[in-house]
Amino acid sequence: MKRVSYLILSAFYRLYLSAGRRLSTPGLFLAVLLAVFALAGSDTRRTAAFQAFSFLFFLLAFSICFSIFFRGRFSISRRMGRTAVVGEPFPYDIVVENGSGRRAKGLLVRERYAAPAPSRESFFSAPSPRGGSFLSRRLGFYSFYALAAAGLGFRQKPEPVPELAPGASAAVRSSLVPVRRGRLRLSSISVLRPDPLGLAYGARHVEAPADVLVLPKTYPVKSLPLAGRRRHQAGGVALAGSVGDSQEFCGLRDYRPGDPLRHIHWRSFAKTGKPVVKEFCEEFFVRHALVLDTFGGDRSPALFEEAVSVAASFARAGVSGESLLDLMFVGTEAFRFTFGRGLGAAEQALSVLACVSPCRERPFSDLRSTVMAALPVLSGVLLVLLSWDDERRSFCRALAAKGVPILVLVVTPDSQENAPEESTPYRVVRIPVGQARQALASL
Amino acid sequence: MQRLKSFSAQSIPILGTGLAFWGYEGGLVWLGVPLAFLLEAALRLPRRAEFSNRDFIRISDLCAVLLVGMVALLVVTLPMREAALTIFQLLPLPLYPLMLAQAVSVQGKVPMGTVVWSARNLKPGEAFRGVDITYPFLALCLLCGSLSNHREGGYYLGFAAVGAIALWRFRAREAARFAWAGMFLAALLAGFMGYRCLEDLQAWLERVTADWYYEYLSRDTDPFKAITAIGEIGELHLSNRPVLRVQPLSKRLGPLLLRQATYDTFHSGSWVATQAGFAEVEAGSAPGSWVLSPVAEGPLSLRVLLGLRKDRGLLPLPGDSSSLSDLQAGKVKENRLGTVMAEEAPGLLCFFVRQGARGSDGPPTPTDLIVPENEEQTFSALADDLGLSRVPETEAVRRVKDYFTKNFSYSLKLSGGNDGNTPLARFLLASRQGHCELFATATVLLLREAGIHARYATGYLASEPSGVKNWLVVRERHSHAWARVFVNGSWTDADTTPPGWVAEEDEGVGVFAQARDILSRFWFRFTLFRSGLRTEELFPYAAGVVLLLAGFLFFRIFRRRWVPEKRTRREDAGDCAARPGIDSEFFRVLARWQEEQGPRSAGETPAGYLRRAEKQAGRPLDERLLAALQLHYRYRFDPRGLDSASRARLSRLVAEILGEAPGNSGGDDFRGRESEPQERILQKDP
Repeated sequence: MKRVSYLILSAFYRLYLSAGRRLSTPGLFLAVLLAVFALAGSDTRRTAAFQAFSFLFFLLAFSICFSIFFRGRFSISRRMGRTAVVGEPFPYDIVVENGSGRRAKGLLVRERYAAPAPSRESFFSAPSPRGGSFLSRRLGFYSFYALAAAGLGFRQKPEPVPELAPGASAAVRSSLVPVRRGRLRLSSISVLRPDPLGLAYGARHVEAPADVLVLPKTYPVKSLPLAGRRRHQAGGVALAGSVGDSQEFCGLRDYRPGDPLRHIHWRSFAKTGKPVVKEFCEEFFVRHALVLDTFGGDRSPALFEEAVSVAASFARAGVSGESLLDLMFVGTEAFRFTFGRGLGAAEQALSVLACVSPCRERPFSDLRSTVMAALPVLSGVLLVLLSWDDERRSFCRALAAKGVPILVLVVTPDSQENAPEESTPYRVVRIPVGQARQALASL
Repeated sequence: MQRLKSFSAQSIPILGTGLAFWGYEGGLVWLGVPLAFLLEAALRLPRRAEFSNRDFIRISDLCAVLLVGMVALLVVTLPMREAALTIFQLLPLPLYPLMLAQAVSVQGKVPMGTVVWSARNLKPGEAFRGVDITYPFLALCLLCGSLSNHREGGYYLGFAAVGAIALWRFRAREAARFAWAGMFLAALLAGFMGYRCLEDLQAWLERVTADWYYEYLSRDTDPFKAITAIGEIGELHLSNRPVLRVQPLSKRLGPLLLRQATYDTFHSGSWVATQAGFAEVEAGSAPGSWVLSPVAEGPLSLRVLLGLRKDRGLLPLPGDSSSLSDLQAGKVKENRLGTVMAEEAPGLLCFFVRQGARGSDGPPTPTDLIVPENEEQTFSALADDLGLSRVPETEAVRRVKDYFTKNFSYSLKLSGGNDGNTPLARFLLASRQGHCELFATATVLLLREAGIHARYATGYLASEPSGVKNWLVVRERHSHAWARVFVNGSWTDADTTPPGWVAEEDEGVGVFAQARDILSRFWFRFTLFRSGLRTEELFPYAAGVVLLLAGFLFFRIFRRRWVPEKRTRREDAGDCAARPGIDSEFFRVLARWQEEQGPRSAGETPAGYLRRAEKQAGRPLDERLLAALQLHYRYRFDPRGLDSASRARLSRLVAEILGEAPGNSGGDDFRGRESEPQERILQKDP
């Protein structure tokens, strides 16, 4: 049944995309009405709906015919930033230059959608989302809808272009709303001219490839709520960059070959007659780990996106201080990125998180071994988990047994399921999907 | 209610026009026009109501209940086809409350939850996502208006007028108005010609397909021609679908032959009714009664429940039917062979049959004695063998019946062949087995050979109990053929098919037939219920339906009060999480102050209000009050919130201020002390 459903849905989706490129919103509404009236008026003896069908048909036909005869030459470029945030409007300028010999007026401009229908593989492997009727879940309607929306990549309304004399150009302030994380590839821009009825668009497409990195959504967080402690960092001051304890005097010792001359303590040299050097403390920093659980994220995309957003919120807040932040997760392999103290800015941490995808091939133990290996230098661990099962409980218990302060954030589908128990030696916070803002504000 | 700063109602009353047009088309001007005025007035109100998501959901539930109520009422009171049409025609009515709610709401839209079930409950903090149903509602009015099927062209012009108003709003602003008007008029003219062409196209298609359909596919009984399966090869299979139900009203034993059509001429495997034009039957004195035969009548003997595929059809009746009563048809016609047809009838007929001394068949004619030349030799020899011409007519009929019963068997297998004999000769001389058409045809021709007038009749044999009282169910596979013979001055049925044929037909019944029978039986009971109701009897049922729906609505509206305590607590916690500190006890103090010192202005902070009240009272405030205010502010706006000790202190302070704590000196003496925190907090609001 799902195969038939896929064929029907993908056919309708292609039809919708094709109609959406040609028709305005009122035109699309009229096209749907046309189908309804065709159905109702299939017997011309029983209802008068076929009269309305005929009228609507010719309205749309004339509009589409009119839109076919749109000619014009345009040069287009964009003035835009490199990063956007998912779900947030991303304003930028589209510069349109009229390259034809006629005045251009009444035009609209928008990015061209280049979205194929969701592939068969992705449709069949997509999890069944919550909500909707039993039948719609069985038919995969919501899965298809989610995949199609993600495939589009962004939402945008056409923006009007001011009247352009031949050779003139104008910058149009436009805005698109990305609907998924990651790299958003914009291929071309459409210059549209609506027909007098406002139902169909004549379109000229201009190639203008551009890339935008869509960062995950973040929520306000004051700082990492971990009772950390300073640990020796093997990288020393070179790793530290600018500030820290590098000049803190610790003691004196005999000169060893290779010690810098500026560290010689001349007074002691004079007293003892042999070279004595000043010794400085080793580098001790606060170093937190932000661990993102990527296992099982493919089964619940909404859950995974919320977890990424939670991790991004802490990454943005945690990198700004003088501490180090290790971002750990498992993708195609186990990754560990260090940010802070000159090693990387919050934007870079968010860029990494923008490209995180759920892990399907590797086991959860990979994440566990990665974190445990880094544990000697860590001051505290913040875990963002997708579920609260025995494997994850055991992992948290092992971390707590090592004496490292940990905070566990479990992103749950809603406020009822997977309620973590309260009798743990560490803090476990439950974050229902859609309520992360409130939950993080109350941390 | 919230006053709008500027009036932005739609200048053109498009919704009102659409609704009034719907009323005009449906003959409900008295309803459509007031509703249209009300809706337009609501759109032009200078005030708007604030509806929450839950309010909208309740209104949509009300619409659902209205829709269900309307469907129930119409299904019970009207014939099914008419009820279905009326439901669609009246669809704007149950949706009207939702449209009205959108018109008077601040949002100007209805939430997604009214359209999509899964979006009904907003999550805490989730923003209102609305959808404008103006144009879908308008389209619904136009669509439902079309179902009234007015053919004078008024619908087309009205639709175009409403469409023009709607399209004018979406026109391309920079395009010239004459271009818009030109395109619109062109579409109007082309649409007019287009719909005339569609009408012609359908007529042509019907003409072309009708011949093909009746030639090859249709198993509907043709009153003028019956193509038999005589001479074909294969196996006959007929459906198990119930065709009609009959209820014998008199004590009558045995199966019942219900004739649907009679034919008099046999040629090349087909029976044809010659000179069999239909004439209208005289209506009786009572409404719905029709007189078939002007002879002495007996009591009502049969009740028939019959579904017609179209608004006309042949009536299966006993051969000696003399009159019909309670038959709701515009016309009843009959031909000289006794075939009766109802015209201008609803989809379902339920009527009574009265049988008389003899039926309404016309007198015998020489055609009723004709035997085809190619069959003459076979039947002549057989008639001589049986000695039919030497015995009285009744005896001849009995001999033929005995002959077939003893020497022949029933079979659904069609054994064609190419041995030079006709199929009938092969049946009589070689195979000696066949189906009812063969037996009936052979009987007719054999009796004709003996000089007895005979005709070929088709119809049904009613014998299977339906399980509902003494009703009999007649299925498509019970269709039958037999002979009508003229003996002793009247036409009687002569069924010579061996009696075991019904059992043989029953063998081929599918596995799911019983399940379908159960459904069919429910539908039949419901039909009986509907057909037996009179208007005054309907009121208790209608009242029951209304009460049921009202109960459902009540449950929908107030069900949140019945949820378990645990759930309520969780929801409260959700509210608190959405608006931290909303459960602060300090609000009670503010309420007390407002009772005494007058209301707090809109947007005035508690600290500002207390400062103003302090001036009014003319004495400084109590430090406990200010300490409580400070804690209240922290509880409301500090991201870290209050720890449990501070939270308890806030509760304690409020209790002391309000005089609820034991040992407190009273609620009014908290004014009159000064302290440092007071100065700090009153100088700066958060």
